[in-house]
Amino acid sequence: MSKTMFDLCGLKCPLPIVQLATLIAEVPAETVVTVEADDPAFPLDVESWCQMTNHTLMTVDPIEDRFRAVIRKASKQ
Amino acid sequence: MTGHAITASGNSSVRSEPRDGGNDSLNELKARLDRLESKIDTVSEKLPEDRMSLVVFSGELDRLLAALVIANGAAACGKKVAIFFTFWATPALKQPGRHPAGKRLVERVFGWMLPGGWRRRKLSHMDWLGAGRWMMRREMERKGIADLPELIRTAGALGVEIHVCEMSMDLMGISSKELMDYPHLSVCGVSRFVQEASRSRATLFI
Repeated sequence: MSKTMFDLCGLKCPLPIVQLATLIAEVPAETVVTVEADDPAFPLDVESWCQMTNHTLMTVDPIEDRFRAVIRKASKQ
Repeated sequence: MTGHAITASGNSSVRSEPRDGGNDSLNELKARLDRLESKIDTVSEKLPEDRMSLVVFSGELDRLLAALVIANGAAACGKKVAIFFTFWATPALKQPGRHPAGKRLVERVFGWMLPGGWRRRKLSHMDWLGAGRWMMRREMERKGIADLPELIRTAGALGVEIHVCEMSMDLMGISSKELMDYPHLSVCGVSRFVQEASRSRATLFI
């Protein structure tokens, strides 16, 4: 069972996206993952990242001092 | 079938026409399809791929940081990234402490004037004889902003290619033995860059 909760708090641009790309590579296709980050650029960045990588951004919300994004990994091409 | 139907309706006055005319137009359609397919192949060969090329000309810390942040970001977004190091950026790839023998005096002067490694990079603005650099490093550390060595490490893990301009190396007396260890490093000429840039959707000069 691979991890589906990624904590990227404390990382600054471009590392949240770099880490996210590395971590999501390890989960099976179509897995729903939850990502938390406190980089202020994260909400917009994760949106663009999902569009370019064909993953589905289900939600992205501010939660206390951070942002939480829920992403469904793209199906296998 | 469709070919027959079209021809048949178009040549309804002649009885023997439909079948032969049908074959003719079918052959013509086939030929058109072949021509179109080969044209599509030619066009798609020339279409840019999901690539990004960067030319890094400056050797300053801030410009190198910008280049590596973009390179890492693009690679994380699934693009194939190639960075070309040329002119003043070339010495940044030297591994400090590597001094191959047999350099001419001018080449040694270049070596002294253009120190290698990430630690010796100046800022393009506010360097203040090193005070600005020191301040910037401290702030980056305090705010958790990635420094050059970390960005190079993640770029390597994401498969970002680094190509070093052979002409710059020759000019500045840098031998390939002096270059730092990086998993996707190669020494190249201008045609390699032109090829990469032609296949890229975006090319940046920094």
